[in-house]
Amino acid sequence: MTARREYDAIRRAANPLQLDLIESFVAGRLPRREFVRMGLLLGMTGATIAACGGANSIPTSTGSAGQTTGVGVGGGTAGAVKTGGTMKIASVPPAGPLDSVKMVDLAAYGLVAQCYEFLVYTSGDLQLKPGLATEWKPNADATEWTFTLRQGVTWQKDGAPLTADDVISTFDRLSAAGNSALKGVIDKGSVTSPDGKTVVFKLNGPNGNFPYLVSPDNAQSPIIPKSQADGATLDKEQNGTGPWKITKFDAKTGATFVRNDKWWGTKTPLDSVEWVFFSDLQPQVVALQSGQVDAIVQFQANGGEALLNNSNLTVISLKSANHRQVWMRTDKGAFKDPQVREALAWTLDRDAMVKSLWKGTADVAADTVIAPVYPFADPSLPARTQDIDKAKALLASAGATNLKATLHAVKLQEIPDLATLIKSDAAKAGITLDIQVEDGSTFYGKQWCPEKPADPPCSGASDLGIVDYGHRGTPDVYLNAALSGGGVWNSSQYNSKDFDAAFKAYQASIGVDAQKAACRKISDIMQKDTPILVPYFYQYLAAHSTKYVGMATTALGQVDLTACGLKA
Amino acid sequence: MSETTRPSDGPHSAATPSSSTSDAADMTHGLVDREMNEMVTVPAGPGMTASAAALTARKTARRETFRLLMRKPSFVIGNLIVIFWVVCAVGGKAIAPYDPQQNFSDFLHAPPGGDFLLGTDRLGRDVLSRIITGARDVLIVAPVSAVIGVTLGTVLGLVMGFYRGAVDDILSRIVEAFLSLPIAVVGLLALVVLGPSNTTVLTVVGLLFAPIVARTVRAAVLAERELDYVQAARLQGESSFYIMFREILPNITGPIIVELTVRIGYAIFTVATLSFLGVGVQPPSPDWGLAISDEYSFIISGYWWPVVYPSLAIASLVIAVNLIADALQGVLSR
Repeated sequence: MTARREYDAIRRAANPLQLDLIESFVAGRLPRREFVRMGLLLGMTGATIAACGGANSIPTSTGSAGQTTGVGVGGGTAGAVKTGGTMKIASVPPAGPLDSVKMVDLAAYGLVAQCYEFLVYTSGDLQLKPGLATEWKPNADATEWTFTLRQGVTWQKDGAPLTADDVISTFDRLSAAGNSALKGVIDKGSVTSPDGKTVVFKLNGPNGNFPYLVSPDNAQSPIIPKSQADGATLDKEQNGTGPWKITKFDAKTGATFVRNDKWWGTKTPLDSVEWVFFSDLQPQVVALQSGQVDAIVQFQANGGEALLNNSNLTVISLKSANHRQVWMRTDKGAFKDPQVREALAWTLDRDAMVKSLWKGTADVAADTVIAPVYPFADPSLPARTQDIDKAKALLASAGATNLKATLHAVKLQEIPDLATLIKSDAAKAGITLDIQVEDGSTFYGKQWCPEKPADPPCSGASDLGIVDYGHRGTPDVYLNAALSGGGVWNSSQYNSKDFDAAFKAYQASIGVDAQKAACRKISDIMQKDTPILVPYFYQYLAAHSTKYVGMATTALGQVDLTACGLKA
Repeated sequence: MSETTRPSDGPHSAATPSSSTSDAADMTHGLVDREMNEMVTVPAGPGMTASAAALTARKTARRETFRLLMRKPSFVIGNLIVIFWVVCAVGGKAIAPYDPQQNFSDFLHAPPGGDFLLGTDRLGRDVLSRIITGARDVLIVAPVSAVIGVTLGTVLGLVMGFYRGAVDDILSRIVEAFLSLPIAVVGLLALVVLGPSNTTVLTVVGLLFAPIVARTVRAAVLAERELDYVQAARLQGESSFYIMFREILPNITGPIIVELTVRIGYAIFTVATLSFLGVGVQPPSPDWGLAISDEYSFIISGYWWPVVYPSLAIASLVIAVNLIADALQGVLSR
């Protein structure tokens, strides 16, 4: 055991997981920031973390209920705000009904998160903060997590108090619906409450990152009342425990929220918030520039350049795990040979992609889903830089000269342009790609993951395509759904025992060192087999008028306006 | 020919001297057929046979038509513009200053001037090179779809105008139903269902133009079918197919050619519209409509050149084709 006797008292009070964390920090293997993040994840108190020397980085919001849901606050320090007023926010309209269990798009996440709340919240630097749960802690091997529920929380609709049964029924519904983050982690019936004040999650296996799966990172997991019917939507069943009450909703034009005076947190400075829907980015940019709206939920540097250097606007920029995956079928077709897949990876000029498509607001990626934003990512993992000779040699070795394939791409943001750059790069190594750009329903339904044949999932996917993946606080969803054998979004039909074993090892790894090692192994296997290409991770960009302060957002579009108001 | 399959039609056949006049006028030379019909009555000079006289008359008429066209400034200007774009389409990469697909990542949205005469687009590709090479797609797709539309429309119009009665009534109602549908919307639907490709675009646009052409041709046929030469052919027992395609068709080539030219203009516009809506040609094609669609969102940031120049290219080609159509109409309908 590491020396430093002054920690002995803390060591005695800590459970085995917390002890492992403290030892890593004391031995100097863990940066202070990471120690704080992990400490909060494992349910250590702020006082304990401070006693270990992590005080400087502890979130200041833990004492103020009104700011506990703060995530990635933009606009610098909140400063003094005026009470009153209505803020107008530009957003794309939701793609489907506002059913918290089944919603799949960022616009719906943002709207639902105004009314319904999560057990815990994440900040921009992935630190966890209390939400409907005030405390949480794992058992010795992280197979069981206990959350203490906040008291005094009531439902907007009938004033009934939030109960443990509400939490249990929420997660039973999510399990029944096959929630992408919880699938394989918990089952229906895994959540129980011994005393009505705490809920216990019995996991199928150890999971050191579980609290992230009940946070906004798992966007479908806000707590809904037990009495609510399956499939109820926010616009029809106006309810929630959150700071805002929805009063008006039209799927084409927008939504209006007013302050929930009975919210458990600090009174929101704004009286109301108005969401204004625009189907394209350009009208949103114009509306924000002209003052027609006060904020924009999300924009891209390409097309939204005008907002980046506007002195009247505050830009919120969040490093994230948002990325694009170029999948290649590993079981059949032109990319069955791993050498061919690797060859395509070597053709990409990733720096040029980041420059052309993102104006530098993205980071080059190394064909792994372990994004640099994750604390357990290995910064020494090299990204492939364009090497046409190497690509040609691999193609020749695989006997795949004059390779031809169709590259399917969804008509979304920069993806058609990414397809163009990939085609241009691939041509340098003699690979001919025909681009097929399709609208969302055709692309997702026919090319990416057709419903049939259903077993294994996505076995009807095309040989080659580009699909979008949103930000997650941990890479579990990408690893589980997109890359594990039989995964529900595994369009490359990648099936590797080595990978599956490494993923299991990662899930079971609790200590920081073990998590880092497991993630490095996953990345190494992904680079060797190259079932997917990940050219870059891009930043999440939002903006608001400098007249306002305190607006915050997650990289999944869950805007937090609880502390936002007009500058005093 | 139909008459060989209908021996019971009577004593007349294609070889009978009485039908030699219409035999001489084939579809290729139908442009001057009306003039020729008028001129065959001119007495042949000593030593000339009747057919030689007809040939001379036809050549004279053709020359006269051409002379009249060349006197029309709109025809000359229109042709000069079209020839310019044809040279671009044929020359393609050979005459473009850069490879149209090359990404100069250090020159994203470079303004016009300097190394890039018309600037670069969002991916650092030379706008001028893309406009030059983009001419090829539009100059293949638009005329081919116009030809498909005019061919189908002509057949339909001939049948409707010639048979009249129930056939005309039924087909006319169907054509009217088609005409009530906006071309861009139907094209959009068809391309979404069938999947976007150049072949689909030219087939869809061609099919959508057919009813419009059919209306024009029908009107022309209605005027022709009552004329003496048609009655004469009927009396000779010629088959309906023969009368439609060998007697009437050569005499309505004037309006058909004008219609074809007008349709080419519309086809350019329709193809560009479908590309703009994202269902036409696929990236990274240098297609003009696609370029406008991909770049118009950047106008707000001040990058006007990747949109304005392809727009001017489309406008110039449409105007040129319309100038030619205008001149042709003026001369052929005199």
